[in-house]
Amino acid sequence: MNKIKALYENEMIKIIRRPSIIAVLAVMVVFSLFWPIVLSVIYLTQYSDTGIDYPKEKVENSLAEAMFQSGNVASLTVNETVTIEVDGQAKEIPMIYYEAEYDQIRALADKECCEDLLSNYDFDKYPLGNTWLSFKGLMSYVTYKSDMYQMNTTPFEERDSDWLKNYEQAGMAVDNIRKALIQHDYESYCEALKMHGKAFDASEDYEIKRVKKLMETDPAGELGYSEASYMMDYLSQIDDKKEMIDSGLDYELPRILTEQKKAQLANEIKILEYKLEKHNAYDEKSFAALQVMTITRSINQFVLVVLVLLIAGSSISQEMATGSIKSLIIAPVRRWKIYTAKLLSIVTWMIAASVLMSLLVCFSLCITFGFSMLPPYLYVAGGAVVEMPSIIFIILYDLAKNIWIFFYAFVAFMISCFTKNTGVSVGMSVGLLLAHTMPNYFAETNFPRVLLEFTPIANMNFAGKAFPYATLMLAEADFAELEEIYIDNPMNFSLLYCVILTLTILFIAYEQFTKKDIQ
Amino acid sequence: MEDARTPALSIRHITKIYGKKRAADDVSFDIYPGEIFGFLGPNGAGKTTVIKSILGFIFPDEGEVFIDGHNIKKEYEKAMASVGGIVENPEMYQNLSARLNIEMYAKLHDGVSEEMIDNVINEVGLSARAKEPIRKYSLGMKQRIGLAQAMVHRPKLLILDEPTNGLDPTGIHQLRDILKKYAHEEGAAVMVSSHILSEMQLLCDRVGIIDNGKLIKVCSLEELNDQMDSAPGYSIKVSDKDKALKILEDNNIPAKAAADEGVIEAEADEDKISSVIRLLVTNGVDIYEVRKIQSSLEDIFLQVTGGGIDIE
Repeated sequence: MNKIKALYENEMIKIIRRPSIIAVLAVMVVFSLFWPIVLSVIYLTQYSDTGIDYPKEKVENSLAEAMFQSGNVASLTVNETVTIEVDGQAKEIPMIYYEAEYDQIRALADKECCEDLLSNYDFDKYPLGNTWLSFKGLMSYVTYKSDMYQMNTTPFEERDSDWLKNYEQAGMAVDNIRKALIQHDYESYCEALKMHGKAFDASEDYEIKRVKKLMETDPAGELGYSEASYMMDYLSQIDDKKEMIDSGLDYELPRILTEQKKAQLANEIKILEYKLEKHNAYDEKSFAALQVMTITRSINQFVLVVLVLLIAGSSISQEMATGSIKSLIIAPVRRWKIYTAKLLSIVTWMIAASVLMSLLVCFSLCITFGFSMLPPYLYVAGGAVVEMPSIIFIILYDLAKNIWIFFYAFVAFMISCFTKNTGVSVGMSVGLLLAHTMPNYFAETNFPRVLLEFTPIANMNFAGKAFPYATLMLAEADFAELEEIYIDNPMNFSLLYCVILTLTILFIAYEQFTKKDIQ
Repeated sequence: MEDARTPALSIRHITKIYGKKRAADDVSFDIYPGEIFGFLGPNGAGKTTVIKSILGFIFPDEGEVFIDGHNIKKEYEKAMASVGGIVENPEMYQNLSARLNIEMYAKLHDGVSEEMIDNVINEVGLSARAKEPIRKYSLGMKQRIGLAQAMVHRPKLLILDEPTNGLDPTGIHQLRDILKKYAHEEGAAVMVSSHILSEMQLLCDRVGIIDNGKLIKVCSLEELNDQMDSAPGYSIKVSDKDKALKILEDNNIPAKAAADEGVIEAEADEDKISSVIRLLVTNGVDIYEVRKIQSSLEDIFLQVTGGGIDIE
């Protein structure tokens, strides 16, 4: 053991003193610190206006702008005696006809909405845009009014009973949304959705259901925009999951739900309910922090790939190429000890590099977003929801997520036992790693599925398997990555698969290194 | 040479075959403590194959190697603990300092102290530059630090492949002193292969000659010197080469023209040479220089191996 320890220490010294490794580590440190700062600045500046602060002055500015833009409405015809047949009877209604472009109509609607708000809205009681209801109300008020005016571009001779029906519905939608906005009333908002949906032949049922749920939690309409948005998102997720459990169908794949998936869905519901109860991660900043972390991780993974493949791929080949292997062979240590020490040093570096990357990202996120911005990971143990501190979660999640990189590093190590050329070992393993997702393309064709189940990509989504509830926390950003995997085997199979494959690769490397002549 | 002591190195019937070529063919020899053994052979003769077999780089197809009485197949670590060496060029970790290189190597041996490391660096004259990275070293310095690494654990058997490569004359002289001291005073066995054969003559106690994978001859330096001295003849620089050859031919003294201008080579021993000179002078041929022809190790080597080959 002493010999292995001494060899291991030597290996660690050799790796850390290599200029190429120092350069890649420096890049990793710079990326880990630089990207979160850049991305957080982008996120915080872009998203800070979303749904917040729409003071009176801003409405006044919008009015001035709208007046300027709508001043060019080409012609306005008011025909007092339009006759339309409704239910078999001729009906005369006063009507307006605009001959104008969409933008002009929109500006006209803007102008009228702004004038109305400046005269009738209580800016002190409900700061405009600060609450979900006022923000959504404002956006919808302008849109609905614009939609209604747009109907006035239909020539008189084309207007029929259907048109009139829709026009009346659109008018009711505008009235309701105005009421929802000015009186801060969810019911009127739902009514407006209903009316607008009828007028424009689109179902708003789903949205109405979500708003009603929100209304139950926040009857006074005081919830902030992002907080309410998250809450609605959670509520609708809970509904979707319950629906899946009830129907017994997995909508995502789609296929019949397995018992395991059912249990997972039940746990996910528990976690979402826990989040609703605890008001966990409702704010925009936390979400931005998670997204920045996810993007930074993707960028850093490239650096990690270069780092570990370089270390593993050059481990033996470079010593062979430079001849430095001679001082190891002449030493009184058996080759299996050299092999073991090299392997241990590679594994140490893999883990250390991954942990270092996670810590650096956490550190820079803490600097840019604040120390409590990263939400904890929630999971279910013994029927209860448990919180895992975010830093521990990120380290473990990253390790699980980087397993596929580690696997290709072992491949690089194996190739390095066969060649004196480090470029070959690193290049070949990078090539294999890049071709890693190829089976996905076959997955969409009639290629035998059983063969695809034995491909690395179908078995290396350990982050998804070990942290099944991470998607609830990482939201869209991480979903995209998981969707790449069409075939995802169960944990036990994947674990066994990876262990067997890795041992085989290491055995080939062992046989080659310990039994070959060194020229 | 029979010796009652345990050989520092004992090679028994080493055979290594690459495809159809027998790179080492039934090679057997011993090296004893306190002696310097020169290992000679042309390119591709199997010299490096034998050295690599001893040092565990390659696995021979047949035969056994014993270092300090330990079979390297069965007691690898014990056997290798008694050996130090440089194969081909001393390759070390370029980005690390010379001292760190040696420290890392020393860690793999038992009982090497910091003092021993300092001493050996001092011994090869690199104390002042031991903290510099190897990449800044010249070839000669690399040879010296390689030697320091090979000797740091004071091995009972030291194997050096072309150790004078890149050394200046002073360096070669120092190396010779270090190796002689190490073998003759500390009682270690030293095995040296070198293409500078004059060096071998100055350094070695015994030589082994290998060609086509076979060990052709193992003899002491004295035997070798005897063989050199036994080569008869003198080279004579004369005023008229053709006339001189004619006179010698007429007197039945075997002679031939040498490659150099005005030089002839006459087959004669010490007793006859004075009469040859007198004969030439009395017949009107002026003599400018007379030199005894000594056959070099190259000549002997060529004789032994059959000649016509490159000397490594």
